[in-house]
Amino acid sequence: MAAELAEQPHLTPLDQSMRVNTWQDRTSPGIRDAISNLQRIVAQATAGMSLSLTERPAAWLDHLSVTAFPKGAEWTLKSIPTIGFGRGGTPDAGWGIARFEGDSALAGDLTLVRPATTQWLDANVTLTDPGTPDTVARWNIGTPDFWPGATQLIGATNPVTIAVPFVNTSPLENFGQARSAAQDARKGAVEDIRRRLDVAMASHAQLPPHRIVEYLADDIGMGQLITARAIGVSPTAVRKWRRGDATKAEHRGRLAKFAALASLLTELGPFDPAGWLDVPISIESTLTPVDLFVAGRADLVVLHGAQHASPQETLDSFDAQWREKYPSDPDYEVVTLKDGERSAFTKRTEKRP
Amino acid sequence: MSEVGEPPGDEDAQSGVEHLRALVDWDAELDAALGTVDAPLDLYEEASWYRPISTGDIFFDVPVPGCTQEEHGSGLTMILAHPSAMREGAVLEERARAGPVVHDSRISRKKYTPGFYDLFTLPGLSTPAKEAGHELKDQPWAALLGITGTIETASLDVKRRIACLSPTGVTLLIQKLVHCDTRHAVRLDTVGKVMAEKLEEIEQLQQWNEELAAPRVDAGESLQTVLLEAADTFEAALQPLRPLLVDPVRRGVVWRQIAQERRALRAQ
Repeated sequence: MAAELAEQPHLTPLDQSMRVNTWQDRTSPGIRDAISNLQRIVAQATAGMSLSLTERPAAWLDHLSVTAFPKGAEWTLKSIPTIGFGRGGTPDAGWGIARFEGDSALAGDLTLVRPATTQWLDANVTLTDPGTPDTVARWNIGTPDFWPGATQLIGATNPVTIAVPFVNTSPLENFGQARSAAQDARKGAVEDIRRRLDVAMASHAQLPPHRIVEYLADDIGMGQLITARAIGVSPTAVRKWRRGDATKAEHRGRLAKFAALASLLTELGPFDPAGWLDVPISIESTLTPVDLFVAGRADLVVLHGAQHASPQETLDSFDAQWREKYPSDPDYEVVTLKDGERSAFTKRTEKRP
Repeated sequence: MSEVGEPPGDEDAQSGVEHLRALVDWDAELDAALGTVDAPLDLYEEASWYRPISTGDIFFDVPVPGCTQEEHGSGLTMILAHPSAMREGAVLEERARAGPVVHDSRISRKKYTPGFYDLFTLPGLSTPAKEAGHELKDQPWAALLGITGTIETASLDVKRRIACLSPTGVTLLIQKLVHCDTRHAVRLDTVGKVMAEKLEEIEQLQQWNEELAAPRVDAGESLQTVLLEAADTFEAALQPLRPLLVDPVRRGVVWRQIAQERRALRAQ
């Protein structure tokens, strides 16, 4: 498991991006985002362990419940989050009260009581592989003013430190730092997505084509027409592969890459990637995620599917002229009628039934 | 040198345009609005017995009522009904719109020919026909879009089907048919969006047929009876899930469920 986690430093750059984007505000919504971020990162990173933080909406900073429970015996939450509250000091100064109740190796609740006047929050999570003395992952959240050097998830072999903007600096400077950090983080995320796609592709490429087609159709729910379009072959070709016919080398490679994309989206992306892949990214364009895949930009598809890039960002990265080159139909929109059938209606001028 | 039935300059784009300009009904603006296909065989799908009968299918020995002997001399007929109009669920409607397929020496036998707005040209039709086990003369074929009639779907036998259109072919056909009927050119992607889920449903039914009906036919049961039963069981499985198909992002849920049903039935 430790090795598996070490192979997934991708979580870090992805979440750096999120953090930089959300931590512009040191008020409670920003902190809530950070906590939500912590929950997601730890849950994903431990792949089998879930960690949930339950917010108490009425007075969330005063009373926060943290529950950690490992699923299965492989993982142990060795060090329960230590959380301190204070004003102008460190957590160790004892301003806050942190109390953990329960067996840290199995399950328990951490109840935090914080004076209403304090303004910052810091939490540490350390995950240790019980089979080795090494720390596998360490996570720290903190309001930016408390701990500027706060780190995100640290993989055992790939520690990453993010830049957290200071408070009490000029908003313009903050913006510049945040933007620069976001760009760096995005670049790292894209590189990591490409790496993960390659790893997944190599795995799928070892399977016979009919197994890959079955995986896409039966496990993912991908329509064969979408698969055919993604690979650049006729639906007949896909059907023949499913029956066991051989594929050309380049088709086999693309098939494996498409399956890799589907796998990664299932893990990181939309609820149901099979249908999502064929839905236009923006109402202003006909481009779908499958079109981006066909054009060789599976990385953008994953970034968009994981909600780390807006539709406009995704399409701008693909082609700055997307509005001109791939415009949606200015005259018609396709709507589903009461009988379940789809019809094309002129935009704006006709009242839908 | 051009072959018989080949317009001058078929191999040469410039000459081909010159040839088209000589035709009365050629219009550059309209041609830009209507779709085309570069590789003619992209128009076709394999005409497997287990492919559900659908829009663009071409049969022999199915007369179209109202057509003259000249119009129907070839004996070939193309289904022209919209995919949404020719099926009630997985089962064919009793009647469907169809048009005759004719030999027309004005068009190319090898390339999709622009213009000719009352025809749907069928370049290379002999190739899919041969793959389906039928010999067809290699000449310029086209379906008449302006002269159509209503046929009984009970007369359609998949063993007499010589070709099926691919999703690309069906979309082009419907676009041209709509224009022929209304003189209005709707964008190809919009036409495709309207039909997308119907075409995917046909794919799923074919998969169902290949896995559940084909073994029974191979064992000696009647093809027609088995296909009808397969359509019924497919519809029974899909019917409760149909509302989910309305939302494109939930189609995956439907097809995963159908795959489970298929596997369960196959295991029986």
